[in-house]
Amino acid sequence: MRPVAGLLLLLLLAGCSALKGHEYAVIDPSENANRASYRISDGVDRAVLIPVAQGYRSVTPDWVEKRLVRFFVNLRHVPSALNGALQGKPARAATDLGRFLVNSTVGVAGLFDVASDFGWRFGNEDFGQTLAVWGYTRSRYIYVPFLGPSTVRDLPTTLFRGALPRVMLGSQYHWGVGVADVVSRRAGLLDATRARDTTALDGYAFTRDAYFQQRTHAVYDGAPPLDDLFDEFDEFDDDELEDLAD
Amino acid sequence: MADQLSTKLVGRWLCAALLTLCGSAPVKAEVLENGAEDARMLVEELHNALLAAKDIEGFTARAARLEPQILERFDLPRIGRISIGREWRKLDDAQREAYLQQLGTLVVATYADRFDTPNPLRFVTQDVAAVKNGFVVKTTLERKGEDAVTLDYFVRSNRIFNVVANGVSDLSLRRADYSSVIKQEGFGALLAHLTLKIAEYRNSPASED
Repeated sequence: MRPVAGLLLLLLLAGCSALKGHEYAVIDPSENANRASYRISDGVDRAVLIPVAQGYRSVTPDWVEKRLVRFFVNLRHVPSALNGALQGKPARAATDLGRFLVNSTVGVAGLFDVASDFGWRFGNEDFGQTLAVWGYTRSRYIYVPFLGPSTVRDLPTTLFRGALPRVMLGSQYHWGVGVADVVSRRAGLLDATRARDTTALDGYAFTRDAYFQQRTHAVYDGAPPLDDLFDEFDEFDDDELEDLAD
Repeated sequence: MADQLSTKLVGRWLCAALLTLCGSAPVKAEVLENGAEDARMLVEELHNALLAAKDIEGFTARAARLEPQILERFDLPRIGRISIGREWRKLDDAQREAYLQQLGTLVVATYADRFDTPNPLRFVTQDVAAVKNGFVVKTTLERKGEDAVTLDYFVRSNRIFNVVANGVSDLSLRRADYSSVIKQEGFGALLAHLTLKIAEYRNSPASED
């Protein structure tokens, strides 16, 4: 337990060091190293994971694909409930726990999302969000080789995500479950990859910015302050626009 | 005489000030209400245009149908300026015009590419929020069997300048993307990249006429 506590303390101290920029701003002082990591990971992704995910999607009926996604999402409910509680959101934590109990039993090991029919929404909390709620908002960007975008603050969440099925299933875990988790998750990101490839001029910058925005959105439970979002673009000088209109 | 005049002037000024104070709150509320309604209509008109275009066969025909609708409702000069930040000030008029032209074509091409589906979908306006310098029109895009996507439209001077989809801002991404290209390769390369992207949309297998 001590090494874990030490690691967390180290992460918190790293996060509290003086970083310039507003809350949740993109901070990427190791851009060169991150770009190298992105290039290597992207190469492997295109050569191996994307073809496998596309193959999986083409042979798997939608119904089966959805059941598998539900199964793995269900496993995330316990850590989500725990983090909801750590963030001082007891209702959210209770809902996640209730969802887990109902979907694991009535929903046949999470294959069916019965709890949503009761209007119980998944909180989708994680430890990175908990640290942000506790005040660790600004954090350096890391592109973790083969695991994707993260920050120093989110690194434990990024690493733990892959180990979650093993932790939750215990002795019932089989390596095939781990493979299914990876392939299912990659298949779920195919549309996002296509959007990146068709839209982005610089895939690295696009991915990094999208990651920071998604995390901010998650920390605020989907409702970040609108004025802040508006103010982000307020540096703009209206006079210049009027000149242009003329 | 001078005292009487100054008393009259002060009295008039006080009356005018009182009238302004009494009238300003309702007037401001009315302006806000009208602005919110205009913003909602602006976004709903765009949605209607997208729904009407999504069934049109062929990328070129879809883009042609969407072009006037999009160019009328999006604030391209604002989007273009924010997307490249300080670089904007270094550009001459011809460069600005060329850049905005390419940007407009790219935005239209992106919508023509994304809204290419015979599957039913619908937009629902959830709320219009007044913020410091404009309005945010909150909507959802709903498709059968899929999670709804939240689409928040940022409106200023009755033009859309940012669309936030599930928390990810189109304008922020564009700014990060374009700034990165300018920093590494310069403004000329940005224009070349935009031209290439437009060609990719036109030539992609999904967009074949």
